[in-house]
Amino acid sequence: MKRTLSSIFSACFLLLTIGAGAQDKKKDSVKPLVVEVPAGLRIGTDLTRIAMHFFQPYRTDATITLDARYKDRIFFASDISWNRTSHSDTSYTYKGNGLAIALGVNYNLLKRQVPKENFMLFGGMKYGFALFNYELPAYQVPGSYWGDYHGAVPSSSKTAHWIELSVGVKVEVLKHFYLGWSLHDRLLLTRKLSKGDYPPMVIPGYGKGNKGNVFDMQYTVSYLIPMYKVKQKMNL
Amino acid sequence: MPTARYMKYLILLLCCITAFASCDDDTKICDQDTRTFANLRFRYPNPNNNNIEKDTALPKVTVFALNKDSLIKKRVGITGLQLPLDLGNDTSRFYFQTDSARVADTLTFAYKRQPHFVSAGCGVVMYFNIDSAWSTNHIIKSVQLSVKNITTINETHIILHF
Repeated sequence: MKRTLSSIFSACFLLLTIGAGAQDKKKDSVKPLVVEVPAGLRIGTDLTRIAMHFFQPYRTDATITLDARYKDRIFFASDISWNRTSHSDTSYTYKGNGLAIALGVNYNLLKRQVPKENFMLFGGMKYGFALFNYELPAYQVPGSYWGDYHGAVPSSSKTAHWIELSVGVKVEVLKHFYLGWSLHDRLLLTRKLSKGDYPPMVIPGYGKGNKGNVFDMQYTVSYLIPMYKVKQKMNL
Repeated sequence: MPTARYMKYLILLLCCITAFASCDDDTKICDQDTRTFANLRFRYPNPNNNNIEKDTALPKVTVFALNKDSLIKKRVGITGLQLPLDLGNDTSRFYFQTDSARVADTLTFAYKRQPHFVSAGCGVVMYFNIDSAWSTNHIIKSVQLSVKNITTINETHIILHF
């Protein structure tokens, strides 16, 4: 495997030098080079979800990020998230948990690519879906004059849909080992959930349930499992 | 490429802002006034021209819900009132006296209640949808309902005409 990889790389460099030489002679006649580079499934996790629990103790989140290179610049991407929310204070108690999956594509915006360097500056679009349930086992509305009002909302299952836009970077820091961060903007399609009388505190994979538009970030650590090869165009 | 370099810092800055914005504990912050009291305003016909009404200050106002402690006792010179409605019943009745020497009126509100989970920090508040509001006509001439849905204290819901 290692031998084949290194031979690919040396072949690429050979092509690169040829290409560069050709460019010097006659610019117009240069055709983009197509080389085969190893690709596969990249599995990672979002570290901000772990950090979040320390700032917002009522939230416990986990996200697994997956992406796989499909073509030259196109990556299929997916986030699988889990959330548990539990909060209790004098005015209300809240319990919720659920799963979410987001599916979409990332497009690598970097123009010049050396096959050895696996940098990625990407823009992406995903469709997100969450299945979760939540309840307010007890709440009170304070009323200093007439007296407090006590109520409860029984547990119910809900689904949520959203569209997610993202930009970010991924860098290979060690062989097959990537670090990356990205910004995400999510637009809730299930608006009656956030506009209702009891909007959920947290929609798994989405964020605050009473907002129709959520801004978020990810910091991912991921590992690439090489599985196949992808043809990559090189503009020299 | 200088633009790319600036872009890098811009993205980094955006990144930091989002990181801090998403870090605060939402259950500790309530950034709005969640009292949903009925907000009343007093109007009085202009003595020179009966077709025009103007705001009026009442001399000595006493208000309490029937069979309860007083909300306001002989308060001088107010032009409006904020009345808390009963969270446990669909009607609220108030004793309303404009001056200690004058006859009192009884104000009645009939409404529907809807609890509403505002946010993690503010918890649940009660929204009211007023069906009707009326009073006895000793001093108050009429009760006008200007905003039916009480979801905030910052609107004038009811106008009392004298």
